[in-house]
Amino acid sequence: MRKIFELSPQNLEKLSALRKQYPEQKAIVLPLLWMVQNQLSYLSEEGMQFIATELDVPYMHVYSVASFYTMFIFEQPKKHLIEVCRTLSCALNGADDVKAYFDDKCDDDVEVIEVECLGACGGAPMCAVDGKYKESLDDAKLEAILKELKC
Amino acid sequence: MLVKIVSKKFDIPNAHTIDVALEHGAYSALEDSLVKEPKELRDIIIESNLRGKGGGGAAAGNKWNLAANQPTESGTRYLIVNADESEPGTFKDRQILAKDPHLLIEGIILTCHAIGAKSSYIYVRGEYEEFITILEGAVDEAYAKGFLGNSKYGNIDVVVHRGAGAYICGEKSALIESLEGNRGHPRLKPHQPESEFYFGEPALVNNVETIASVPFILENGADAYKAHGTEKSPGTLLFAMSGHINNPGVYECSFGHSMLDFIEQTGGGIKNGKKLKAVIPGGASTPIIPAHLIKDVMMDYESLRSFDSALGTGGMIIMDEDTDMVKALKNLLHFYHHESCGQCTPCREGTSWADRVMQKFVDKRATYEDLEILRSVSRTMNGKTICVFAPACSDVIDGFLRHFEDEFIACIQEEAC
Ligand SMILES: Cc1cc2nc3c(=O)[nH]c(=O)nc-3n(C[C@H](O)[C@H](O)[C@H](O)COP(=O)(O)O)c2cc1C
Ligand code: SF4
Ligand code: FES
Repeated sequence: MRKIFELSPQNLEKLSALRKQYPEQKAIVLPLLWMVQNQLSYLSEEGMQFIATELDVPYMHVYSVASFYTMFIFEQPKKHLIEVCRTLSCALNGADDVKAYFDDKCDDDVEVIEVECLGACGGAPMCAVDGKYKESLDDAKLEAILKELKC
Repeated sequence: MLVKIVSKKFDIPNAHTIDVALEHGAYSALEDSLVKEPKELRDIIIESNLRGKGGGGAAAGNKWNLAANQPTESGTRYLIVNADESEPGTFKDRQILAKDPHLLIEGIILTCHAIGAKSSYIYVRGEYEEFITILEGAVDEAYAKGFLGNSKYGNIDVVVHRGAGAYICGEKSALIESLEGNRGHPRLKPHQPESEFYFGEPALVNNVETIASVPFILENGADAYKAHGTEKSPGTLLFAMSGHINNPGVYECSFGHSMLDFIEQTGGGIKNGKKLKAVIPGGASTPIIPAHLIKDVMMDYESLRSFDSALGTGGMIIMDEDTDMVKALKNLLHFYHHESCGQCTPCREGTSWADRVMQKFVDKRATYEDLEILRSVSRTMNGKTICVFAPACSDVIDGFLRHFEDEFIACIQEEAC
């Protein structure tokens, strides 16, 4: 039998608050996608089906919206995510070396990807580790990140 | 040169919490302004010549009037604050979100009153998770202290809405689409001045810093704001410096100062004692300016326009003498290729084609024909699309070719020999 997705009690409460904050229910597709992704760590088909049913919109609409945004993922992610900014200010300050460093040192638990400007150009080169910004990276900071992730 | 209007509380520890913010004058513009007629507030903003700080530099007062005067049956209007901040080189709005969110909330209450809105949404880029947490904390505090919600300050509601990774959602109509629960596709709109529309009701979209400038202006008057900057570019901007610069960061500066002085004095000059080669003056989408022209550039809208560039967001990317311009353009075209929303053929195909051609330059496989292809792709992207993303990309290419064509030709010749 197909697994049914259910929101956690905490999230259920948040959902009823969310419904009152927007003029039309359809508007909460993004907040709900975040809620499901935060709960499951990715967007499952059942999770998106749940959103479609809750908001009375076609499943394809939910999937189409989710697939437009780069931060939504559709498979179980690795334990950690390192996003290395590759855009100009970071590139001018050694983003390539940062990416190569992580590629070399990180084990299979860590997904290392390149992303576009994270709005932290003053702290170039930078990356986000599990969503947390790490800026003005130097050797010591890179090592500290590895230690934190236990690679 | 440096001024503290919007950045007044940036250096005060914990100014993001309401008690500290209140100690330092937060919400002090409300009392006197909210008893004034909305039109009176709009007139002050018009008089101040406040210009939008999200990149376009449109007159804020005119936009407020459009939103306030747009007929609506239900009487509902919205204020939407653009905190999508994804333009490479730009990292100013996050300073406000993280260091002085109450200034933004104060600006929202005032702006809502001025245009007759009761609800406001702050659309923040998804990656700013840490700053969203701070902002949400500040909004909760503002509710608890009676500045938002059921209060004597006009019953304004504020909702923080998290984006999910899409540069194009910074474009105002794409942002509204996203806020309605759709893909972030810019809307095809008539070329006439009108307000934006959220679920069919009039809406005003302003940048974070624009709204954060409002409390000072309404509290101190238009003249106090115009005392800074130039006649056509009044007031201040949170200018940012990144790239090859000794003191990267965000600095509030009045308009009209020499860009070179700013780079040398405030920025501490070029890293490693090198020479300046070029500056991208206002976020990646503004055309590059070579060093020999920089000494004449003033940091205001008009001066930058006269150098075939634009002030944009004021986020300056600084490049030293060793920067490879071919690689720099390739880096940016990769960005445009990645971020095109895909609705318009010239943009979807053009950004990817230009990116591929630039890869040939980087690999030293390019020919003179590729240079022509790059130019023609750029021409095709200009003026034929739904939003100005593609024309901006075209301007970026043209800027590099205008000033650094020799480096592209050197690449071709290297291939030949
Ligand atoms: C491709 C594109 C991206 C944009 N990104 C942003 C952005 O991240 N933040 C922003 O405030 N404005 C951005 N804008 C400008 C907005 O469309 C809009 O003009 C602005 O938010 C209006 O606010 P302002 O008048 O206060 O500047 C972007 C425009 C385009 C065409
Ligand atoms: S110009 Fe590009 S980004 Fe803008 S609407 Fe067209 S395809 Fe989308
Ligand atoms: S270029 Fe890396 S954060 Fe902006």
